[in-house]
Amino acid sequence: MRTLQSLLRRTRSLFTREASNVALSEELQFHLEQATVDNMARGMPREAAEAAARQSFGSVAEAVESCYEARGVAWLEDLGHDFRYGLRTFAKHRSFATLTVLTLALGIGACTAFFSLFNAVLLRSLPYGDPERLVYLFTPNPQFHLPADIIGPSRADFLDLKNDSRSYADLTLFEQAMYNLSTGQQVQRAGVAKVDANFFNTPTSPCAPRFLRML
Amino acid sequence: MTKSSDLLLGTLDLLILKVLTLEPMHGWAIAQRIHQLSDEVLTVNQGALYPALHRLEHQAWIEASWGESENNRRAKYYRLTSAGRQRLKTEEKSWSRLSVGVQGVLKAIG
Repeated sequence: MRTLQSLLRRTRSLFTREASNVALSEELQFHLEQATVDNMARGMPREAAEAAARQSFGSVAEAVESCYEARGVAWLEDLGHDFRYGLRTFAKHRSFATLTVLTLALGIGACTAFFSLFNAVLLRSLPYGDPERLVYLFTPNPQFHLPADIIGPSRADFLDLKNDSRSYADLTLFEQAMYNLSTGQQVQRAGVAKVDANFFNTPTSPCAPRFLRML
Repeated sequence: MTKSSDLLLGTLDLLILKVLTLEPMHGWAIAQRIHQLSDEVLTVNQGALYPALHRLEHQAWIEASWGESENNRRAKYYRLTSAGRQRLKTEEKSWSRLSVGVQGVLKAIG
């Protein structure tokens, strides 16, 4: 709490440096006047009293500077100065600045891109309930000259697999297709999946929880 | 910053916090009060007083507000915060430990 208050105060005085300094000189002025009044009460004439007060006070400029440092924002302002100085230098040497920015941008971009790939391929697990137990079956057909894994088993093959195999807790079939989707006034081409009745009940199915919520 | 001025700085903070337990005061009054209460032994250097006040204010141990002085002038009054009261307790403890220690050494070697 105290840290927060202190931080707020510092931030405020950063934006109100002028106001802070005006208030400060008023505060110091008040001190000098009190000292003068005090000296006059001891019998000094006004001018001598003022001079003595000023002398005992020492340098007002130094006090102002010390107070400014005590406010604890000096480093932040110095940072601001450095930042502006940097900008001015950049503005003077355009080509160098452009090159620097480009180098940094490319470097950061490359790192980000590589990490996205690394994250998707190696780090993030499949978004299914039990990914270790989930397998994908396909029936390669060399006649089509297509990647082997895009051809799923035929429905008859699937039913045989489902009835006869003992290696799987459950099996479900899906096929991708394109359909025209009509919303009354508009017709849109939509990518869909044709699935069997078991699809939403298979324990590791990606759709199971969401589908149930929709019901 | 030398060791001795570190000590003085800490002592001034302690004295300021302590006199502010009496009532809210402006800088001049704080200096006067310390001077009087120390039987005129301690004179607070203004060049150190105001930086110390501002530092304490920014530590949120004291709060400042503008008010009217005894002779109807605008003056900045400082008031102890509850965090400042806590701070004063710790400072008083560490000061008495220090002064007991120093006294011990002085007495031990008559």
